[in-house]
Amino acid sequence: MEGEKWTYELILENLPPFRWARPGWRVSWQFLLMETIGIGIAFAYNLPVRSIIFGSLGILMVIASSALADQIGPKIRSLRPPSASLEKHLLDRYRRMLFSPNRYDALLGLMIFVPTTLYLLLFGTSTLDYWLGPGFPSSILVFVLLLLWDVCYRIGLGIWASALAVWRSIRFLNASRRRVGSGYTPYRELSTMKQMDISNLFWAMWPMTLIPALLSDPILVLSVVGYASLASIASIVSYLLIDRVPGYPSGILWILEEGSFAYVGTCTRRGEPHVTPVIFVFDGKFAYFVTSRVSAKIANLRQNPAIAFLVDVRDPVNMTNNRAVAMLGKAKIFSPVDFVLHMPTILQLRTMFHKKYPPYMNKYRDERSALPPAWRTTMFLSRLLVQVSVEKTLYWKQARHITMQT
Amino acid sequence: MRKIPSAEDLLRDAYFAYVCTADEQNRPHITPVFFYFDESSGNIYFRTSRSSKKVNNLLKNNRVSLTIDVRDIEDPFNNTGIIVRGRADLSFDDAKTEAGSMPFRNSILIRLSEKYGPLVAQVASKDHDWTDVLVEVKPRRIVYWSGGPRFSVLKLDAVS
Repeated sequence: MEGEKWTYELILENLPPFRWARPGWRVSWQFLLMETIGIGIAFAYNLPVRSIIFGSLGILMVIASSALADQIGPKIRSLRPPSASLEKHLLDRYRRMLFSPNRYDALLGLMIFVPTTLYLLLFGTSTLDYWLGPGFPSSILVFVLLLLWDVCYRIGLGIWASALAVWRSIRFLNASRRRVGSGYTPYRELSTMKQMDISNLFWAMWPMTLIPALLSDPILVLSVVGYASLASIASIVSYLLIDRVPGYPSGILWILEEGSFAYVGTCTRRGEPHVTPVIFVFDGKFAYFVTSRVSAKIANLRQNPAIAFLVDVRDPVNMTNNRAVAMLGKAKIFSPVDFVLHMPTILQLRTMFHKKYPPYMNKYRDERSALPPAWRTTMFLSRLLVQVSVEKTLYWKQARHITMQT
Repeated sequence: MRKIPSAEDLLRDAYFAYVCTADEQNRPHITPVFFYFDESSGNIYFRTSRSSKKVNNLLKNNRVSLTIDVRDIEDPFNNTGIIVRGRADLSFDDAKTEAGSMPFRNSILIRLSEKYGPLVAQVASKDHDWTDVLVEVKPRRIVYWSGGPRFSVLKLDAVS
Protein backbone atom coordinates (compact mmCIF):
# COMPACT_ATOMS: atom_id res chain seq x y z
CA MET A 1 0.00 0.00 0.00
CA GLU A 2 1.97 2.96 -1.30
CA GLY A 3 1.22 6.34 0.24
CA GLU A 4 0.35 4.65 3.50
CA LYS A 5 3.82 4.98 4.95
CA TRP A 6 5.47 7.64 7.01
CA THR A 7 8.18 9.60 5.23
CA TYR A 8 10.50 8.33 7.89
CA GLU A 9 9.67 4.68 7.07
CA LEU A 10 10.28 5.26 3.37
CA ILE A 11 13.66 6.82 4.14
CA LEU A 12 14.74 3.89 6.28
CA GLU A 13 13.60 1.35 3.72
CA ASN A 14 15.22 2.97 0.72
CA LEU A 15 18.24 4.94 1.86
CA PRO A 16 21.69 3.52 2.52
CA PRO A 17 23.04 2.59 5.01
CA PHE A 18 19.66 1.77 6.60
CA ARG A 19 18.31 -0.23 3.68
CA TRP A 20 21.14 -2.69 4.14
CA ALA A 21 20.25 -3.26 7.79
CA ARG A 22 17.74 -5.85 8.93
CA PRO A 23 14.42 -4.18 9.80
CA GLY A 24 14.84 -4.72 13.56
CA TRP A 25 18.28 -3.11 13.48
CA ARG A 26 17.46 0.01 11.50
CA VAL A 27 16.60 2.01 14.59
CA SER A 28 19.83 0.97 16.32
CA TRP A 29 21.86 2.00 13.27
CA GLN A 30 20.10 5.33 13.22
CA PHE A 31 21.00 5.84 16.88
CA LEU A 32 24.66 4.88 16.36
CA LEU A 33 24.98 7.19 13.39
CA MET A 34 23.44 10.18 15.14
CA GLU A 35 25.49 9.60 18.31
CA THR A 36 28.75 9.31 16.35
CA ILE A 37 28.06 12.57 14.55
CA GLY A 38 27.03 14.24 17.82
CA ILE A 39 30.11 13.13 19.73
CA GLY A 40 32.29 14.04 16.76
CA ILE A 41 30.92 17.58 16.77
CA ALA A 42 31.36 17.82 20.54
CA PHE A 43 35.03 16.91 20.19
CA ALA A 44 35.60 19.16 17.19
CA TYR A 45 34.20 22.15 19.08
CA ASN A 46 35.66 21.06 22.41
CA LEU A 47 32.24 21.15 24.11
CA PRO A 48 31.67 20.24 27.80
CA VAL A 49 30.47 16.72 28.76
CA ARG A 50 26.96 17.95 29.58
CA SER A 51 26.52 19.01 25.95
CA ILE A 52 27.01 15.37 24.96
CA ILE A 53 24.49 14.26 27.60
CA PHE A 54 21.87 16.82 26.56
CA GLY A 55 22.45 16.08 22.88
CA SER A 56 22.03 12.38 23.60
CA LEU A 57 18.71 13.05 25.33
CA GLY A 58 17.50 14.77 22.17
CA ILE A 59 18.79 11.95 19.99
CA LEU A 60 17.13 9.34 22.24
CA MET A 61 13.82 11.16 21.90
CA VAL A 62 14.12 11.06 18.12
CA ILE A 63 15.08 7.38 18.17
CA ALA A 64 12.30 6.42 20.59
CA SER A 65 9.67 7.95 18.38
CA SER A 66 11.21 6.27 15.34
CA ALA A 67 10.91 2.93 17.15
CA LEU A 68 7.26 3.66 18.00
CA ALA A 69 6.52 4.70 14.42
CA ASP A 70 8.09 1.41 13.38
CA GLN A 71 5.54 -0.38 15.54
CA ILE A 72 2.50 1.72 14.75
CA GLY A 73 2.90 1.88 10.96
CA PRO A 74 2.56 -1.89 10.34
CA LYS A 75 -0.25 -2.11 12.92
CA ILE A 76 -2.34 0.47 11.12
CA ARG A 77 -1.76 -1.24 7.80
CA SER A 78 -2.82 -4.59 9.35
CA LEU A 79 -6.31 -3.28 10.20
CA ARG A 80 -9.01 -5.18 8.31
CA PRO A 81 -11.89 -3.04 7.06
CA PRO A 82 -14.90 -3.22 9.42
CA SER A 83 -18.10 -4.61 7.92
CA ALA A 84 -20.07 -1.66 9.32
CA SER A 85 -19.92 0.95 6.55
CA LEU A 86 -19.82 4.03 8.80
CA GLU A 87 -16.94 2.56 10.75
CA LYS A 88 -15.16 1.49 7.59
CA HIS A 89 -15.31 5.03 6.16
CA LEU A 90 -14.16 6.46 9.45
CA LEU A 91 -11.17 4.13 9.66
CA ASP A 92 -10.25 4.92 6.04
CA ARG A 93 -10.39 8.63 6.77
CA TYR A 94 -8.33 8.21 9.90
CA ARG A 95 -5.65 6.33 8.00
CA ARG A 96 -5.60 8.86 5.19
CA MET A 97 -5.21 11.73 7.63
CA LEU A 98 -2.52 10.01 9.65
CA PHE A 99 -0.45 9.37 6.51
CA SER A 100 -1.62 12.59 4.93
CA PRO A 101 0.45 13.92 2.02
CA ASN A 102 -0.40 17.41 3.32
CA ARG A 103 2.04 16.75 6.15
CA TYR A 104 0.06 18.29 8.98
CA ASP A 105 2.58 16.68 11.31
CA ALA A 106 5.45 18.63 9.73
CA LEU A 107 3.36 21.81 9.82
CA LEU A 108 2.75 21.35 13.54
CA GLY A 109 6.45 20.63 14.00
CA LEU A 110 7.24 23.90 12.23
CA MET A 111 4.73 25.77 14.40
CA ILE A 112 6.64 24.56 17.44
CA PHE A 113 10.11 24.88 15.95
CA VAL A 114 9.90 28.50 14.75
CA PRO A 115 8.73 30.09 18.02
CA THR A 116 11.12 27.92 20.04
CA THR A 117 14.05 28.96 17.86
CA LEU A 118 13.13 32.63 18.05
CA TYR A 119 12.67 32.38 21.78
CA LEU A 120 16.06 30.69 22.20
CA LEU A 121 17.92 33.16 20.01
CA LEU A 122 16.28 36.27 21.46
CA PHE A 123 15.78 35.41 25.15
CA GLY A 124 17.48 32.06 25.65
CA THR A 125 21.15 32.94 25.89
CA SER A 126 21.29 31.43 29.35
CA THR A 127 19.85 28.15 28.01
CA LEU A 128 22.29 28.06 25.11
CA ASP A 129 25.14 28.71 27.55
CA TYR A 130 23.75 25.93 29.76
CA TRP A 131 23.77 23.53 26.81
CA LEU A 132 27.04 24.44 25.13
CA GLY A 133 29.11 26.17 27.79
CA PRO A 134 29.77 29.92 27.83
CA GLY A 135 31.43 31.46 24.79
CA PHE A 136 30.45 28.72 22.31
CA PRO A 137 31.21 29.34 18.61
CA SER A 138 28.05 30.48 16.80
CA SER A 139 28.57 28.05 13.88
CA ILE A 140 27.60 25.17 16.17
CA LEU A 141 24.08 26.61 16.34
CA VAL A 142 23.38 24.99 12.97
CA PHE A 143 23.73 21.52 14.53
CA VAL A 144 21.75 22.54 17.61
CA LEU A 145 18.90 23.80 15.43
CA LEU A 146 18.99 20.62 13.33
CA LEU A 147 18.51 18.48 16.41
CA LEU A 148 15.95 20.95 17.74
CA TRP A 149 13.99 20.60 14.53
CA ASP A 150 14.08 16.82 14.81
CA VAL A 151 12.74 17.01 18.37
CA CYS A 152 10.07 19.60 17.47
CA TYR A 153 8.96 17.51 14.53
CA ARG A 154 8.43 14.47 16.81
CA ILE A 155 6.45 16.61 19.24
CA GLY A 156 4.34 17.88 16.34
CA LEU A 157 3.78 14.30 15.25
CA GLY A 158 2.77 13.43 18.82
CA ILE A 159 0.21 16.25 18.90
CA TRP A 160 -1.13 15.26 15.50
CA ALA A 161 -1.37 11.57 16.35
CA SER A 162 -3.06 12.03 19.73
CA ALA A 163 -5.51 14.68 18.51
CA LEU A 164 -6.41 12.47 15.58
CA ALA A 165 -6.83 9.47 17.90
CA VAL A 166 -9.32 11.33 20.07
CA TRP A 167 -11.25 12.47 17.02
CA ARG A 168 -11.28 8.91 15.64
CA SER A 169 -12.38 7.38 18.95
CA ILE A 170 -15.25 9.82 19.51
CA ARG A 171 -16.54 9.30 15.98
CA PHE A 172 -16.00 5.53 16.20
CA LEU A 173 -18.00 5.19 19.40
CA ASN A 174 -20.83 7.21 17.85
CA ALA A 175 -20.72 5.19 14.65
CA SER A 176 -20.79 1.91 16.58
CA ARG A 177 -24.07 2.97 18.20
CA ARG A 178 -25.63 3.31 14.77
CA ARG A 179 -24.72 -0.14 13.49
CA VAL A 180 -27.32 -1.75 11.29
CA GLY A 181 -27.77 -5.35 10.20
CA SER A 182 -24.71 -7.49 10.54
CA GLY A 183 -22.19 -4.64 10.35
CA TYR A 184 -19.58 -4.37 13.09
CA THR A 185 -15.87 -4.01 13.82
CA PRO A 186 -14.17 -7.19 15.09
CA TYR A 187 -12.35 -7.16 18.44
CA ARG A 188 -8.96 -7.65 16.82
CA GLU A 189 -9.27 -4.27 15.09
CA LEU A 190 -10.54 -2.57 18.24
CA SER A 191 -7.66 -3.92 20.29
CA THR A 192 -5.16 -2.86 17.61
CA MET A 193 -6.49 0.68 17.93
CA LYS A 194 -6.12 0.46 21.71
CA GLN A 195 -2.53 -0.77 21.35
CA MET A 196 -1.87 2.25 19.15
CA ASP A 197 -3.25 4.50 21.86
CA ILE A 198 -0.88 2.91 24.36
CA SER A 199 2.04 3.52 21.98
CA ASN A 200 0.83 7.10 21.65
CA LEU A 201 0.85 7.43 25.41
CA PHE A 202 4.54 6.50 25.51
CA TRP A 203 5.19 8.87 22.67
CA ALA A 204 3.42 11.64 24.57
CA MET A 205 5.38 11.09 27.77
CA TRP A 206 8.83 10.65 26.27
CA PRO A 207 9.65 14.40 25.99
CA MET A 208 9.67 14.45 29.81
CA THR A 209 13.14 12.90 29.50
CA LEU A 210 14.30 16.22 28.00
CA ILE A 211 13.62 18.05 31.25
CA PRO A 212 17.21 17.78 32.60
CA ALA A 213 18.34 19.74 29.54
CA LEU A 214 15.74 22.46 30.11
CA LEU A 215 16.25 23.13 33.81
CA SER A 216 17.84 26.50 33.07
CA ASP A 217 14.53 27.87 31.86
CA PRO A 218 11.25 27.20 33.71
CA ILE A 219 9.19 28.31 30.69
CA LEU A 220 10.64 25.50 28.56
CA VAL A 221 10.09 22.96 31.38
CA LEU A 222 6.48 24.09 31.72
CA SER A 223 5.84 23.82 27.96
CA VAL A 224 7.19 20.28 27.83
CA VAL A 225 5.25 19.19 30.92
CA GLY A 226 2.13 20.84 29.52
CA TYR A 227 2.51 19.10 26.17
CA ALA A 228 3.23 15.72 27.76
CA SER A 229 0.22 15.90 30.08
CA LEU A 230 -2.23 17.05 27.40
CA ALA A 231 -1.08 14.46 24.86
CA SER A 232 -1.11 11.71 27.52
CA ILE A 233 -4.64 12.62 28.58
CA ALA A 234 -5.69 12.60 24.92
CA SER A 235 -4.26 9.09 24.44
CA ILE A 236 -5.94 7.79 27.59
CA VAL A 237 -9.29 9.33 26.59
CA SER A 238 -8.97 7.78 23.14
CA TYR A 239 -8.22 4.37 24.69
CA LEU A 240 -11.18 4.54 27.07
CA LEU A 241 -13.56 5.54 24.26
CA ILE A 242 -12.50 2.68 21.99
CA ASP A 243 -12.73 0.35 24.97
CA ARG A 244 -16.47 1.05 25.02
CA VAL A 245 -17.01 0.09 21.38
CA PRO A 246 -18.56 -3.39 21.24
CA GLY A 247 -17.03 -5.91 18.83
CA TYR A 248 -20.40 -7.29 17.76
CA PRO A 249 -23.12 -6.46 15.27
CA SER A 250 -26.26 -4.93 16.78
CA GLY A 251 -28.26 -8.17 16.47
CA ILE A 252 -25.79 -10.17 18.53
CA LEU A 253 -25.30 -7.33 20.98
CA TRP A 254 -29.03 -7.26 21.51
CA ILE A 255 -29.10 -10.98 22.34
CA LEU A 256 -26.17 -10.63 24.72
CA GLU A 257 -27.71 -7.64 26.46
CA GLU A 258 -31.35 -8.71 26.46
CA GLY A 259 -31.04 -12.50 26.75
CA SER A 260 -32.10 -13.49 30.26
CA PHE A 261 -30.42 -16.84 30.60
CA ALA A 262 -27.14 -18.29 29.49
CA TYR A 263 -25.97 -21.88 29.34
CA VAL A 264 -22.49 -22.36 30.69
CA GLY A 265 -20.51 -25.27 29.31
CA THR A 266 -17.38 -26.41 31.11
CA CYS A 267 -15.25 -29.50 30.88
CA THR A 268 -13.12 -31.49 33.31
CA ARG A 269 -9.49 -32.15 32.54
CA ARG A 270 -10.50 -35.68 31.64
CA GLY A 271 -12.97 -34.52 28.97
CA GLU A 272 -16.29 -34.78 30.80
CA PRO A 273 -18.48 -31.85 29.68
CA HIS A 274 -21.08 -30.15 31.87
CA VAL A 275 -23.75 -27.58 31.04
CA THR A 276 -25.98 -25.51 33.34
CA PRO A 277 -28.16 -22.40 33.00
CA VAL A 278 -27.20 -19.15 34.75
CA ILE A 279 -28.33 -15.55 34.89
CA PHE A 280 -25.69 -13.15 33.62
CA VAL A 281 -24.81 -9.64 32.47
CA PHE A 282 -22.76 -8.52 29.48
CA ASP A 283 -20.80 -5.26 29.65
CA GLY A 284 -20.04 -4.91 25.94
CA LYS A 285 -16.88 -6.95 26.24
CA PHE A 286 -17.12 -9.64 28.90
CA ALA A 287 -20.00 -11.74 30.17
CA TYR A 288 -20.25 -12.20 33.93
CA PHE A 289 -22.15 -14.68 36.04
CA VAL A 290 -22.19 -15.59 39.70
CA THR A 291 -22.17 -19.17 40.84
CA SER A 292 -21.78 -21.30 43.91
CA ARG A 293 -18.31 -22.01 45.16
CA VAL A 294 -19.20 -25.72 45.38
CA SER A 295 -20.77 -25.98 41.90
CA ALA A 296 -19.52 -28.38 39.26
CA LYS A 297 -18.80 -25.35 37.03
CA ILE A 298 -16.25 -23.96 39.46
CA ALA A 299 -14.67 -27.37 40.03
CA ASN A 300 -14.32 -27.80 36.27
CA LEU A 301 -13.10 -24.25 35.61
CA ARG A 302 -10.41 -24.59 38.24
CA GLN A 303 -9.10 -27.61 36.31
CA ASN A 304 -9.70 -26.18 32.87
CA PRO A 305 -10.57 -22.50 32.22
CA ALA A 306 -12.01 -23.17 28.74
CA ILE A 307 -15.67 -22.18 28.65
CA ALA A 308 -18.60 -22.13 26.26
CA PHE A 309 -21.25 -19.54 27.01
CA LEU A 310 -24.49 -19.65 25.06
CA VAL A 311 -27.24 -17.04 25.21
CA ASP A 312 -30.47 -17.49 23.32
CA VAL A 313 -33.63 -15.54 22.76
CA ARG A 314 -36.77 -17.51 22.05
CA ASP A 315 -39.77 -16.39 20.10
CA PRO A 316 -42.82 -17.60 22.03
CA VAL A 317 -44.92 -17.64 18.86
CA ASN A 318 -42.55 -19.31 16.44
CA MET A 319 -40.12 -21.68 18.07
CA THR A 320 -37.87 -21.92 15.01
CA ASN A 321 -37.28 -18.19 15.30
CA ASN A 322 -34.84 -18.96 18.08
CA ARG A 323 -31.66 -16.87 18.00
CA ALA A 324 -28.54 -17.79 19.87
CA VAL A 325 -25.00 -16.57 20.40
CA ALA A 326 -22.26 -18.77 21.79
CA MET A 327 -19.08 -17.24 23.12
CA LEU A 328 -16.19 -19.68 23.24
CA GLY A 329 -13.30 -18.55 25.35
CA LYS A 330 -11.72 -18.50 28.75
CA ALA A 331 -13.19 -18.01 32.21
CA LYS A 332 -11.59 -16.09 35.00
CA ILE A 333 -12.77 -16.70 38.55
CA PHE A 334 -12.47 -13.50 40.59
CA SER A 335 -10.35 -13.96 43.68
CA PRO A 336 -10.71 -11.68 46.75
CA VAL A 337 -7.70 -9.75 45.43
CA ASP A 338 -9.38 -9.26 42.02
CA PHE A 339 -12.44 -8.15 43.91
CA VAL A 340 -10.53 -5.30 45.52
CA LEU A 341 -8.61 -4.43 42.35
CA HIS A 342 -11.77 -4.29 40.24
CA MET A 343 -14.06 -2.61 42.76
CA PRO A 344 -15.54 -0.12 40.22
CA THR A 345 -16.33 -2.99 37.83
CA ILE A 346 -17.90 -5.02 40.65
CA LEU A 347 -20.15 -2.13 41.66
CA GLN A 348 -21.13 -1.57 38.04
CA LEU A 349 -21.94 -5.28 37.65
CA ARG A 350 -24.04 -5.20 40.81
CA THR A 351 -26.10 -2.36 39.35
CA MET A 352 -26.40 -4.22 36.04
CA PHE A 353 -27.63 -7.38 37.77
CA HIS A 354 -30.21 -5.42 39.77
CA LYS A 355 -31.43 -3.61 36.68
CA LYS A 356 -31.64 -6.73 34.56
CA TYR A 357 -33.10 -9.11 37.13
CA PRO A 358 -35.06 -7.06 39.69
CA PRO A 359 -37.37 -9.95 40.75
CA TYR A 360 -34.41 -12.27 41.17
CA MET A 361 -32.41 -9.85 43.18
CA ASN A 362 -35.38 -8.96 45.39
CA LYS A 363 -36.23 -12.61 45.92
CA TYR A 364 -32.64 -13.38 46.75
CA ARG A 365 -32.66 -10.56 49.26
CA ASP A 366 -36.11 -11.08 50.82
CA GLU A 367 -36.22 -14.83 50.95
CA ARG A 368 -32.67 -15.61 51.73
CA SER A 369 -33.56 -18.06 54.44
CA ALA A 370 -35.62 -20.13 52.00
CA LEU A 371 -32.65 -20.57 49.70
CA PRO A 372 -30.27 -23.47 50.01
CA PRO A 373 -26.86 -22.21 51.19
CA ALA A 374 -25.36 -22.61 47.73
CA TRP A 375 -27.83 -20.11 46.22
CA ARG A 376 -27.31 -17.28 48.66
CA THR A 377 -25.64 -14.30 47.11
CA THR A 378 -22.97 -13.65 49.71
CA MET A 379 -19.96 -13.13 47.53
CA PHE A 380 -16.91 -15.16 48.57
CA LEU A 381 -18.63 -16.99 51.36
CA SER A 382 -20.44 -19.24 48.97
CA ARG A 383 -20.67 -17.41 45.62
CA LEU A 384 -17.97 -16.56 43.10
CA LEU A 385 -17.93 -14.09 40.22
CA VAL A 386 -16.82 -15.48 36.87
CA GLN A 387 -15.73 -13.37 33.89
CA VAL A 388 -16.00 -14.87 30.41
CA SER A 389 -13.67 -13.51 27.71
CA VAL A 390 -14.32 -14.40 24.10
CA GLU A 391 -11.98 -16.04 21.64
CA LYS A 392 -14.56 -17.12 19.11
CA THR A 393 -18.21 -16.32 18.61
CA LEU A 394 -20.88 -18.49 17.03
CA TYR A 395 -24.27 -17.20 15.99
CA TRP A 396 -27.48 -18.98 15.09
CA LYS A 397 -30.52 -17.43 13.55
CA GLN A 398 -33.60 -19.50 12.85
CA ALA A 399 -31.70 -22.69 13.56
CA ARG A 400 -28.98 -21.71 11.10
CA HIS A 401 -25.41 -21.36 11.98
CA ILE A 402 -23.59 -18.19 10.89
CA THR A 403 -19.84 -17.82 11.40
CA MET A 404 -18.33 -14.50 12.31
CA GLN A 405 -14.88 -13.00 12.80
CA THR A 406 -13.74 -12.02 16.26
CA MET B 1 -49.30 -21.00 40.45
CA ARG B 2 -48.51 -23.19 37.50
CA LYS B 3 -47.71 -26.84 37.83
CA ILE B 4 -44.07 -27.59 38.36
CA PRO B 5 -42.88 -29.88 35.60
CA SER B 6 -41.27 -33.14 36.62
CA ALA B 7 -38.11 -34.44 35.03
CA GLU B 8 -40.27 -36.61 32.76
CA ASP B 9 -42.42 -33.62 31.77
CA LEU B 10 -39.30 -31.72 30.77
CA LEU B 11 -37.91 -34.61 28.77
CA ARG B 12 -41.21 -35.05 26.99
CA ASP B 13 -42.37 -31.49 26.38
CA ALA B 14 -39.44 -29.06 26.40
CA TYR B 15 -38.48 -27.66 23.00
CA PHE B 16 -34.77 -27.16 23.33
CA ALA B 17 -31.95 -29.12 24.83
CA TYR B 18 -28.54 -27.48 25.21
CA VAL B 19 -25.88 -29.95 24.27
CA CYS B 20 -22.35 -29.60 25.51
CA THR B 21 -19.46 -31.56 23.99
CA ALA B 22 -15.70 -31.19 24.28
CA ASP B 23 -12.99 -31.07 21.64
CA GLU B 24 -9.55 -32.69 21.80
CA GLN B 25 -8.19 -29.89 23.97
CA ASN B 26 -11.18 -30.32 26.33
CA ARG B 27 -12.65 -27.02 25.24
CA PRO B 28 -16.42 -27.14 25.70
CA HIS B 29 -18.87 -26.35 22.92
CA ILE B 30 -22.63 -25.74 23.29
CA THR B 31 -25.47 -25.79 20.80
CA PRO B 32 -29.23 -25.77 21.18
CA VAL B 33 -30.98 -28.78 19.58
CA PHE B 34 -34.47 -30.14 18.99
CA PHE B 35 -34.67 -33.48 20.77
CA TYR B 36 -36.87 -36.48 21.46
CA PHE B 37 -36.92 -38.54 24.65
CA ASP B 38 -37.69 -42.22 24.15
CA GLU B 39 -39.42 -43.38 27.33
CA SER B 40 -38.98 -47.08 26.72
CA SER B 41 -35.19 -46.94 26.36
CA GLY B 42 -34.66 -43.84 28.45
CA ASN B 43 -32.45 -42.37 25.72
CA ILE B 44 -32.46 -38.87 24.27
CA TYR B 45 -32.21 -38.35 20.49
CA PHE B 46 -31.39 -35.36 18.35
CA ARG B 47 -30.53 -34.74 14.72
CA THR B 48 -27.62 -32.71 13.51
CA SER B 49 -25.20 -32.27 10.64
CA ARG B 50 -22.08 -34.35 10.18
CA SER B 51 -20.14 -31.20 9.44
CA SER B 52 -21.10 -29.72 12.80
CA LYS B 53 -18.62 -29.14 15.56
CA LYS B 54 -20.50 -31.40 17.95
CA VAL B 55 -20.32 -34.42 15.64
CA ASN B 56 -16.65 -33.69 15.16
CA ASN B 57 -16.18 -33.60 18.92
CA LEU B 58 -18.34 -36.65 19.62
CA LEU B 59 -16.41 -38.80 17.14
CA LYS B 60 -13.32 -38.25 19.30
CA ASN B 61 -14.93 -38.02 22.72
CA ASN B 62 -18.44 -39.41 23.11
CA ARG B 63 -19.03 -37.88 26.51
CA VAL B 64 -21.89 -35.41 26.45
CA SER B 65 -23.85 -33.23 28.85
CA LEU B 66 -27.19 -31.64 28.17
CA THR B 67 -29.52 -29.31 29.99
CA ILE B 68 -33.26 -29.10 29.53
CA ASP B 69 -35.05 -26.44 31.51
CA VAL B 70 -38.02 -24.10 31.78
CA ARG B 71 -37.26 -20.66 32.99
CA ASP B 72 -39.20 -17.81 34.46
CA ILE B 73 -37.72 -14.35 34.18
CA GLU B 74 -40.13 -13.08 36.84
CA ASP B 75 -39.51 -15.68 39.47
CA PRO B 76 -36.39 -17.75 40.03
CA PHE B 77 -38.46 -20.06 42.25
CA ASN B 78 -40.21 -21.24 39.11
CA ASN B 79 -37.10 -22.39 37.30
CA THR B 80 -36.95 -26.09 36.76
CA GLY B 81 -34.53 -28.20 34.82
CA ILE B 82 -32.43 -31.29 34.45
CA ILE B 83 -28.82 -31.86 33.62
CA VAL B 84 -28.06 -35.11 31.86
CA ARG B 85 -24.62 -36.61 31.70
CA GLY B 86 -24.14 -39.47 29.31
CA ARG B 87 -22.50 -41.05 26.32
CA ALA B 88 -23.42 -40.43 22.71
CA ASP B 89 -23.80 -42.84 19.81
CA LEU B 90 -23.86 -41.48 16.27
CA SER B 91 -25.59 -42.99 13.27
CA PHE B 92 -25.10 -41.43 9.87
CA ASP B 93 -27.91 -41.39 7.32
CA ASP B 94 -25.99 -43.27 4.66
CA ALA B 95 -24.26 -45.67 7.01
CA LYS B 96 -24.78 -49.40 6.63
CA THR B 97 -26.71 -49.77 9.85
CA GLU B 98 -27.63 -53.20 11.07
CA ALA B 99 -30.86 -54.37 9.52
CA GLY B 100 -32.51 -54.75 12.93
CA SER B 101 -31.88 -51.16 13.94
CA MET B 102 -33.40 -49.53 10.86
CA PRO B 103 -37.07 -49.70 11.90
CA PHE B 104 -36.20 -48.35 15.35
CA ARG B 105 -34.16 -45.56 13.83
CA ASN B 106 -36.99 -44.63 11.52
CA SER B 107 -39.46 -44.66 14.36
CA ILE B 108 -37.26 -42.17 16.22
CA LEU B 109 -37.23 -39.89 13.20
CA ILE B 110 -41.00 -40.10 13.02
CA ARG B 111 -41.30 -39.30 16.75
CA LEU B 112 -39.02 -36.30 16.27
CA SER B 113 -41.13 -34.88 13.48
CA GLU B 114 -44.29 -35.64 15.46
CA LYS B 115 -42.98 -33.65 18.38
CA TYR B 116 -41.90 -30.64 16.34
CA GLY B 117 -44.39 -31.04 13.56
CA PRO B 118 -43.75 -29.25 10.31
CA LEU B 119 -41.16 -26.97 11.89
CA VAL B 120 -38.33 -29.46 11.83
CA ALA B 121 -39.39 -30.89 8.50
CA GLN B 122 -39.39 -27.38 7.10
CA VAL B 123 -35.98 -26.52 8.44
CA ALA B 124 -34.55 -29.87 7.38
CA SER B 125 -35.92 -29.66 3.88
CA LYS B 126 -34.24 -26.33 3.17
CA ASP B 127 -30.90 -27.96 3.17
CA HIS B 128 -30.43 -31.67 3.61
CA ASP B 129 -26.99 -31.26 5.13
CA TRP B 130 -28.60 -29.59 8.05
CA THR B 131 -29.56 -32.95 9.57
CA ASP B 132 -27.90 -36.11 8.41
CA VAL B 133 -26.81 -37.61 11.70
CA LEU B 134 -28.94 -39.09 14.46
CA VAL B 135 -27.34 -38.79 17.88
CA GLU B 136 -28.43 -41.08 20.68
CA VAL B 137 -27.56 -39.96 24.20
CA LYS B 138 -27.55 -42.71 26.82
CA PRO B 139 -27.89 -40.97 30.18
CA ARG B 140 -25.59 -42.07 32.98
CA ARG B 141 -26.81 -39.54 35.52
CA ILE B 142 -29.67 -37.08 35.60
CA VAL B 143 -29.83 -34.20 38.08
CA TYR B 144 -33.17 -32.50 38.53
CA TRP B 145 -33.64 -29.16 40.22
CA SER B 146 -36.78 -27.28 40.94
CA GLY B 147 -37.30 -23.92 42.57
CA GLY B 148 -40.83 -24.46 43.83
CA PRO B 149 -41.90 -23.30 47.26
CA ARG B 150 -38.75 -25.02 48.39
CA PHE B 151 -35.62 -25.52 46.38
CA SER B 152 -34.62 -29.06 45.86
CA VAL B 153 -31.90 -30.74 43.92
CA LEU B 154 -32.64 -34.36 43.28
CA LYS B 155 -30.18 -36.80 41.93
CA LEU B 156 -31.99 -39.57 40.11
CA ASP B 157 -30.32 -42.71 38.98
CA ALA B 158 -29.98 -43.15 35.27
CA VAL B 159 -33.35 -43.98 33.76
CA SER B 160 -32.06 -46.99 31.93
